[in-house]
Amino acid sequence: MSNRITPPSSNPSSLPSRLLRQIRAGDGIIAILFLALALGSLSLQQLRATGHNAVKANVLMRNAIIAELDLQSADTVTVQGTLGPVTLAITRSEIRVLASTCPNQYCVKQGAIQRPHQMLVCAPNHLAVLLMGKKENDLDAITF
Amino acid sequence: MPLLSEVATRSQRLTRTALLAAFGLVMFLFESALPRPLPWAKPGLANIATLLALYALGPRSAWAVTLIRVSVGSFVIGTFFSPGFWLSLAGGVLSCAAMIALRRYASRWFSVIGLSLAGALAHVLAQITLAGILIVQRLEILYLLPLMLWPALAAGLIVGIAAFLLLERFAFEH
Repeated sequence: MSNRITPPSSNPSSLPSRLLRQIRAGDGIIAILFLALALGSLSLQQLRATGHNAVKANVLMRNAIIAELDLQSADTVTVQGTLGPVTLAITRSEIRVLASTCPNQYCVKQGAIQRPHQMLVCAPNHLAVLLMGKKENDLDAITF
Repeated sequence: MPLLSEVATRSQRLTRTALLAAFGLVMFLFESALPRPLPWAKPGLANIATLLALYALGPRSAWAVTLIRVSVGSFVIGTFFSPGFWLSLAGGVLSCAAMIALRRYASRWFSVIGLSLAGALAHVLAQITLAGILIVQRLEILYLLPLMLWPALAAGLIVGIAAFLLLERFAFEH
């Protein structure tokens, strides 16, 4: 163990070439699988996010619908989350969280959503806003 | 130079496991203090400790390092038994299991970088599955997948290269 901290001076080649020497076939397979999943899930999102704008927003609390909002009329709605009131603003067929009582404010920072299936989530308040399309509950299967 | 796993006595193994667990814990705490663009996107530097334990000391040490980091780490940052703790535990356990399985059954086909990437992928899949079951309960959670996979890919590469450099420097077998 005496020479444990010997710098790799016996190996003067650069980091990329040393890395390349170690790379195995499986590394490439994992990297390709990773990329395929990342690209695939990205295109899934693109595919579903195109099309018409949402017409209705369901406000969910622990997966139960507590309010249905019409996106056609501009409005400001306050719902009660588990931590306190959460204010939602509807403008021009978009909906955003205007103010929330949660610590991180991720829901406020997320900004406005307008397409069916998009979702605003305020996890600390157990609240979610899910946008609906023209048909009632037009959730078809997402295969994966 | 003999393999560390061959020369290590019981107490050497215990001490080294403890050191790596402490290293992983420090990385975990350092990361949790960093600001993040997305709540789940962090580099996962603590996984360096798990990888080093797996290569130098074996699967049992890797499990110990992972479980100590997740449990003690959540005590320190105050998330013990919160939803975030369960997500962290699921990610840690599944990625550790994936890396151990690849190391044991397919080590000829993978370098430490491949193992790190596999660990990162398993971490994302475990977290999104558990978050879907526990918190969101809707298939819309799959829309988060690209937002989780891209940072995880970068993180897996960084962690793999860091582990590679450390293994090289400390002349562990790899």
